[in-house]
Amino acid sequence: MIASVTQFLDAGDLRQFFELRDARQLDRTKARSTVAFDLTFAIVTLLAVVGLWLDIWSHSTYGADQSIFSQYHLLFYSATVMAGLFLAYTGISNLLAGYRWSDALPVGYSLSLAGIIFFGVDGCIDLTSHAIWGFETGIEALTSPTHLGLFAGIFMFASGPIRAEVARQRRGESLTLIRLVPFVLSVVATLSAITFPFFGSLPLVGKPWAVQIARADQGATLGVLGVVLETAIMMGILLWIVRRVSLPPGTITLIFVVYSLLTMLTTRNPIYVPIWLIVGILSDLAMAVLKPSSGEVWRFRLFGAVVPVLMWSVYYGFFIVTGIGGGIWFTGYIWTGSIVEAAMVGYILAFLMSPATITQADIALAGQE
Amino acid sequence: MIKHFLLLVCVAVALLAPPTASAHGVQPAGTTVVQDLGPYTLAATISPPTALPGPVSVQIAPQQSFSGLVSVTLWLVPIGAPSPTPPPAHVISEQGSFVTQLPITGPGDYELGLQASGQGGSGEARVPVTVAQQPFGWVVALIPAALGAFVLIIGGAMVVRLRRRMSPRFNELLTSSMALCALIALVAFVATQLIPANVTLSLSGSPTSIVPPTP
Repeated sequence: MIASVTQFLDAGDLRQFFELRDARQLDRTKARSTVAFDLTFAIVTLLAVVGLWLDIWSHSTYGADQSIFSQYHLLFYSATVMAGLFLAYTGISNLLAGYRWSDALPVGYSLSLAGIIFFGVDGCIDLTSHAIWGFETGIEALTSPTHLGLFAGIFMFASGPIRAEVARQRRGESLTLIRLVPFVLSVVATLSAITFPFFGSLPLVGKPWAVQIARADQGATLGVLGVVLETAIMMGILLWIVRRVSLPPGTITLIFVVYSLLTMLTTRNPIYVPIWLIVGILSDLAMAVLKPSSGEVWRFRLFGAVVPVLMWSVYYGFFIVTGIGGGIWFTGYIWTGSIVEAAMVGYILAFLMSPATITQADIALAGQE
Repeated sequence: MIKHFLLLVCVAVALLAPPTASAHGVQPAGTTVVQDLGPYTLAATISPPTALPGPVSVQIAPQQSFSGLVSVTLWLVPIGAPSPTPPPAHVISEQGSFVTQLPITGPGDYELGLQASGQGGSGEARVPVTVAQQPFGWVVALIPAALGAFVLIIGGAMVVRLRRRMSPRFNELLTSSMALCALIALVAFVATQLIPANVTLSLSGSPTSIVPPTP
């Protein structure tokens, strides 16, 4: 019995399970996911994310929960359990089919399983702490250690279909229209996981600091910081994906629109949807023109700078032109300067993700991904 | 490439169709109670909110002539809860009327408190009301049904898999059905959150006049 347990402690197998080995080794022996698998996992993940967005709405509207068994808690915990059961079923099926345990889960989903387990453990601690000490209120609910753990767990497991698609593109397959659906849902769920702790501060999600009706003390400072933070979040994910996945035209528009619809569950404010739609269309045009996935470093870095300019130009331009909310109250220096700062953030992120010259270490690192 | 782009933009625009839910639907019809408050007879027309939580609308109108002005105070609390700090009073003449909004958080039994005072005297009454919410029951039932079906399919598939080898096609079919169950649960849950439920308000008993203690 000890021998059968210690088989799980082999270092090589552990590295294989957590995909810490050379990508060619992973692609050779690991199970592969099908479209139906990716789609099922993506929808179940979205169920959990929708539950979380609605839970945040509930807290923002009615304050702290009266019980740990709210409908939203039940939804996202149930969805996470479903995702775990689904992965367990797949893993066991592949084991019975002859795969080694470290190869039983499809490429990209080992971290998802780890994320689900982490989410479950952290969730139990969170529910216990609520039962003993009550519920956090205000910004504490978004920054408590257990809640941050939940967001991190969702980030890990929601990004499974993205990693699966990266592995497919590594093998030379392209992203078809049918596989685009789970990919987009996964990107949106992953974006949501990073957005949760900050949503109330992000100008294009929860708080349009620049708009007259939202004018507040220190609003200009918070607004510019919000622009910088939201740029970092969006461009961090977008650039990571663009560097590894060749996206069909229109994908960025779809990602942005679905993401804005999801955040609308919390904010109940549809004003951002047309803004994200326009930003998405322009970003897709920028991608078609600049071809950031072509391998040329300057195209990638320029894309990193251009998309934030488009994002925030449309945001400010929309309110200036329509006058919705009383237009913007930021001075010209503030809103134009924030666009420049956003471009700098996007460029820096692209710069960090793309070395100017390829070295042996870079080739080795790419092989690990 | 252009075709792909246009198709994806069309999908994005289709997703922009606003949710059918609106918290501001047609105001449901109200229930009118005519009540004596000391020497004054007032009619209170109570209308439920269009969604919960939301405000109960109460219109007060005199039902008899009187001289001078009457100060009217209203409040709405759950049955058994203590009376709140007296809210600001509304002042009306015999031709006057007013409408006020009293917030409630959810369905249940409430007590509408009415207090009137003027030159002719004062009076107080309690009107018991019940607020009920009728969600789309079948939509709510879909959620546990879909989630349960998902788990059942996994369980059934595991039993079959342990007994014999499963063809890839059959495995795909099972996975697709799991995806469908998850999608149904997702759509149903979002629908229950965004579509306004039918809120009704009714009198749950006879109004009670509060007689002030004799000095």
